[in-house]
Amino acid sequence: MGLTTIPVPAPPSPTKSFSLLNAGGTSIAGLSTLTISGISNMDDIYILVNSLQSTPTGNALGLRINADTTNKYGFAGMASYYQPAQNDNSGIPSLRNQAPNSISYIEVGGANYFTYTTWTSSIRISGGATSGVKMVQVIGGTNQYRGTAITGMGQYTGTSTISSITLFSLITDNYASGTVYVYGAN
Amino acid sequence: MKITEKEFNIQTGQETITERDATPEEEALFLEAEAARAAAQTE
Repeated sequence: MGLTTIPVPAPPSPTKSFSLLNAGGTSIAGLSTLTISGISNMDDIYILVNSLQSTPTGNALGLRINADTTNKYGFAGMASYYQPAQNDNSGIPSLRNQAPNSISYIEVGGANYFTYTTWTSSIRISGGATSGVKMVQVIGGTNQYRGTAITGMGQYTGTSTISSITLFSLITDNYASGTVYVYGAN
Repeated sequence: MKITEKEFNIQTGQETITERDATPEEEALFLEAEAARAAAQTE
């Protein structure tokens, strides 16, 4: 009787090593939408949106994975925006509770209402090289209008592995400046 | 209103830039945000 060899998948790497996928970063200046494509076999993706500035109209930033515009996203966390009626530059935190598969993007930054506010966001996506749910962690804030911030965890239930990341203006206005860095590890 | 979109492919290094006119819905969103900003700055 012959022996049967059962293939054993290679174990995952015990350590992750991130590298910058878009060398030098990619400017978002003059753009309403920036897509970083050609991503392959990256299970852990980290995106830094650095010094994002609006044109005169405030301009919040959305995230999509694999250019998927269907309701496969959700988010739970906190967002606060400057409240003009308070007139004291303080943001009022509020719960952001968007159930899984209820929204078509995840808001990851940008400030509505104000001119030339500088915004920075850190976004981490886990599970990008699998068919499972992708988890999206977001932390962001601005240098003006204190209390304006967003933080929380979202998810994306698309089953394809991640091949592209899209950042876009929620009001389709072009950004004045900002640089996007995308890091990946498998 | 013109909207500019860019795709950067990290495998090939190719950049594709597309410029298009905003749809009426997109333009309405922009005008709404602009009005909100103007109102906030006068308070």
